[in-house]
Amino acid sequence: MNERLNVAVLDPDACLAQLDKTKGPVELTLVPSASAEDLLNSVIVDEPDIILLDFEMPGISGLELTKRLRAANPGIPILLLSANPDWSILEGDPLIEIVRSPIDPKEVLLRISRLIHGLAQDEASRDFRLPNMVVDELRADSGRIDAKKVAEMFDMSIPVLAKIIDVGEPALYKTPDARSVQTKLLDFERIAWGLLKLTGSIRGMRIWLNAQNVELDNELPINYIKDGHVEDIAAMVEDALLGHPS
Amino acid sequence: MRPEADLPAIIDALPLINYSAPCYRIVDFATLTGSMIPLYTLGPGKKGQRYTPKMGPNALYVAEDVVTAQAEYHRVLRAVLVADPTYHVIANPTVQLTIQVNLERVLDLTDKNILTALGTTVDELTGPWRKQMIKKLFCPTQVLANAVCANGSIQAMRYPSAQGHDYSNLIIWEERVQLPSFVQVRDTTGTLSARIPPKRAYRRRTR
Repeated sequence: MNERLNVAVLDPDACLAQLDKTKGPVELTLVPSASAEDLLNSVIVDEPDIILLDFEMPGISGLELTKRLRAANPGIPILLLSANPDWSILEGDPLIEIVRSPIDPKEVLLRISRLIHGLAQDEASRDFRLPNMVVDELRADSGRIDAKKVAEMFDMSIPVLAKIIDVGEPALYKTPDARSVQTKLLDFERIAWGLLKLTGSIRGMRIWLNAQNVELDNELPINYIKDGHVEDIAAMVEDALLGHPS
Repeated sequence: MRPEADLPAIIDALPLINYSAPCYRIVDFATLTGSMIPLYTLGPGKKGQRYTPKMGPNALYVAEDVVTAQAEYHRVLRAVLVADPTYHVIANPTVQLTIQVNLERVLDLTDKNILTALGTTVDELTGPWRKQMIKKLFCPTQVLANAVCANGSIQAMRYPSAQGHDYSNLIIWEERVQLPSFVQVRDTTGTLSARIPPKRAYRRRTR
């Protein structure tokens, strides 16, 4: 049976409320508070295992509340949900994790598990997520691959991506998950999937894409992608995944 | 490399060796369990490989020892660590396949006399090939493999690995492997059992 944790949460919305029904490395019991003051009292009196906060709350900022909670209980882990987190202010606190919203419940459980077990102190594990979770992030709500998300993951602009997949920029901005571009975007997903498995993170993936490669006569894989050889680079990554003797 | 037109006659005169040894592949766990085809031979001809042009014959590539197999699997990671030695690796699970290879006619490209006869070198055989294939340039390893395969009787080539000159690999052409030669996954559990040529289903003798 998984470890069950008490989670203090301020006014959970419908999305957060489903966390206690989601299966993952830990199981949660949500303990909702009606106000920031209630939450502060709860932290002192009830001693929850972790606090879950939305960075953007009505009445008080997540940052301000985090500071007050930290002052009330310096040892309690805090998971912040935010669409646009101000990382710099909170960097260096090993008991704080930030998850971008909209949230993926499974990712939240994974991050809580990390936080509770002290993994957040490891800088290298900051961007640790299972490859399938990261690749899932390339997909829009429609279930199709989203060109904007691909561009972000591969650290390139939409105009560059539009040129690679031979689509007009306005069309790509307007419908980034268009059916007509899915086949071409699938090769990007193959690359991301393979490199995430082989290196373990988006950072590792980007290092490989921008490093000299002996198989390409010391040229950079990312330049081949920009030249339109996306399928060839996908095949190259999959060869490594299959341990193909060279 | 000697001119392409001269290769058939040179290859016909080259000595071949018997080969009987366990070989290895390290494969991503999820990829293997997704297909459960440990001796998949269609990939090289589909995507192209060092000794297999696109649309080339069905082939299986294996490493001659575990260390080479590890080096082949971790080449992406090695490139990352060369570029950034501070990178902290988060590895995913893999499967180590042990593949018993018993062949009778293998061309040994690790033999210096054979390289001399073919007019090639270890550096040429282990040099970059993917760029040549992508940009449709002359790819000496694929040209050589075409000529060797056209010979009709050679079952496999033993060649130096690009991951290190002390390492060796094999390319085995599937259609050339006929009993008593065979290539077989060693697995006492039977979970990954596979053989080239495939085992025939047992037939009850009828009168």
